[in-house]
Amino acid sequence: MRPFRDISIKRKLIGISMVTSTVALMLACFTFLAYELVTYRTTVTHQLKTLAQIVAESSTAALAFDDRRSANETLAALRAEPHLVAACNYTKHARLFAVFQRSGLPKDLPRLPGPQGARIQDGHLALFQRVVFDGDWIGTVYLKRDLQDMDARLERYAGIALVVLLISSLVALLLSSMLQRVISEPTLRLAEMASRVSTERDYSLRAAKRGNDEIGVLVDSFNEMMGQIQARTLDLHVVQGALERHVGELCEENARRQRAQEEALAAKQAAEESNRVKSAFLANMSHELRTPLNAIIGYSEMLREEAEEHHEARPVVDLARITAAGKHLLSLINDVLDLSKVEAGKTELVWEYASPAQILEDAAGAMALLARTNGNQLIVHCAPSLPAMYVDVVKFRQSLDNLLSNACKFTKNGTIGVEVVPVSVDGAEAIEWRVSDTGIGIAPDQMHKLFQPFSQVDASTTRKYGGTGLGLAISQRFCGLMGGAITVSSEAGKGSTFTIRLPLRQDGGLLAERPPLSRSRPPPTGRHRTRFW
Amino acid sequence: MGILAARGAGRLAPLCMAGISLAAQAALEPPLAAEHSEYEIESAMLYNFTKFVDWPGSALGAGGVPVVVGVWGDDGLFPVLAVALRNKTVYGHPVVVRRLDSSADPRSCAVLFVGASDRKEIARIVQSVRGSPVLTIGELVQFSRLGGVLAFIRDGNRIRFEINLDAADRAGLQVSSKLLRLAAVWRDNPPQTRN
Repeated sequence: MRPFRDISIKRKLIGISMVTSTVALMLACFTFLAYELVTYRTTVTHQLKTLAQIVAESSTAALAFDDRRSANETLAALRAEPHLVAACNYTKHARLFAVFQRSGLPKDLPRLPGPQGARIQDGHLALFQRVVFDGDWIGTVYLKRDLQDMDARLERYAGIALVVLLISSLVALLLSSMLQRVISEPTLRLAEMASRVSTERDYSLRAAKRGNDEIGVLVDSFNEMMGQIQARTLDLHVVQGALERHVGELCEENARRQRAQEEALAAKQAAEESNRVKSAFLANMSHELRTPLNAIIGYSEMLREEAEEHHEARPVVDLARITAAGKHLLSLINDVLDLSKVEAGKTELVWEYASPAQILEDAAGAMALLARTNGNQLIVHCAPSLPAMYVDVVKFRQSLDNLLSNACKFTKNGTIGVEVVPVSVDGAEAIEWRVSDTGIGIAPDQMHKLFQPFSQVDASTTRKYGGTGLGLAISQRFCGLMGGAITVSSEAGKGSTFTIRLPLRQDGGLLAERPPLSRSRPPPTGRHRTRFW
Repeated sequence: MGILAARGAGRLAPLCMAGISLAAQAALEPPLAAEHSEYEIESAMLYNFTKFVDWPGSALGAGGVPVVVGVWGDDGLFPVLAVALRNKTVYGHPVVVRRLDSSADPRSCAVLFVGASDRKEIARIVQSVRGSPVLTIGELVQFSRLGGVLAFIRDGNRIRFEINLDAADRAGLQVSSKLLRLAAVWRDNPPQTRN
């Protein structure tokens, strides 16, 4: 069976009124029956008591004169009372005196008189009544009556109550079936409306109102709610439209950006590709250019030596110019070649262990002449007990020479210093080579151009000091390849300091495992760590 | 009472001769009465009779005045009766038992037991209390028919009684119907019985 809460309101209402009316009716019937029972019992008891008093009164003489036959006759008159089943008299000595017993019934008279009063036992009403005559208790009357009339009456009443119950239940069913519509119909209509709204999603629907009761209020609330939903749905549509437009624009914008990004990426790739192609081209071209240039230099020197042997002054000067121009062109081509290799990613490093002191010695030796050309003093200083460096010695020397030659070039009658010191940056061991000069210095706004290829600080510099403008760029890239970097600090008019910082390898401290430093000259060690050239 | 009496009247009429059934009593329960002497039984009955008889208004005198129960003749009954009626009352009056002789006025008695068996003597005594409210009780069946009010009748070993209603009327005594139901009733005029 379905639980009560799932049954339709219509049936619930009918059920409730049926249960209510039936229970009320049953209560009324039961009350009535109980009242009837009590009343009838009282009446019957009273009647029996009256009868007992009459019998007692009639039996006084018989009891007083011990006249058993008369007493029996008196009792026999009780035969007319159909419900009386037994009666008897007791003398004042509690002996059975006279007896009336309806024929066909078992003899079950009490042997002794009980206390005065009536009591119900075994579906019978029994009663003892004292016979008092002239103030003396002269005996007892006992009457016993069946309660069949009461039972029959109760049965009849119960039957009537049942019939009334059935008929009134039917009437109640009929009435409640008709009257429940007052409540159920508006409710059902509202429920139907609600379900229609939810299935059709038509928020313009409105429920009809019939009265101002709670359901009327419910209908009003429902309609108001529907109005709000409708308005909100409308708003929502508007907002949704706007949102869709925005999303569309956003998508478009996105696509455009995507396209732009792709284009940019493609452009970048193309640029890188073209750069690589350019570098490769330059590398090839430089190589192709060097071969004839070497021939030019070689033959011009040969011709100059022959002219010197023949003491022909004029051709010697000219030939010397050709040689110088060829050498300059060669160095230019070498630089271009190096830069191209680096940018094309084709530079190959030759790693080896080298003594910093030895490198410093060699570099200072090579630069001493150039330093003196401009009246400069070269001072080098090397920290003691430096560990060996693991570098590409040729490339490192090229970088160091570049810095030194720049210092000599841009300094007149000054001091060029080189200092080699170990440093520790963030726990990593490194060696710094500091090349300082007292030359013209670099303006702060020119600093960022320093390491760009083909850029001397300004165009006039190239004409005045010579050089390709590639040296710093190449040096920076070489040091980068070896894990280091070149930094610069400068003050215009007072000089510059270029610093190469190269990391020591992790095993740099283990000298024993290092290959021996093979140099023709033993490295200067010990006390003379600072030398003047 | 009325219903039962009315109903029972026709039925009870043939039972006027109802008596005291000692034999029947003996059959149902221990023969209590048999242990008592005839005097004792008669004394108890005599006292009971007073309860079923109404004397006329002033016959018994003011409250507290003793009621006299006289015994004429029969010396055997007197002491037994005196014991039986000791401390008893009749309608609230104390009871005095007196032996009467020929000099005494029997009209002063409320109850008069006549122990004589001579018809003439009985007639004289009855005559002497005629018109007076005296309940006369005799031992012979003729007693009631000679004008006495009430007579014991020996029927085998039972003691029954007969009431002369005319005599009771003459004496102004009202006999209870309950007593009449147990009694045989005699009427002088017309001379017939209703049993």
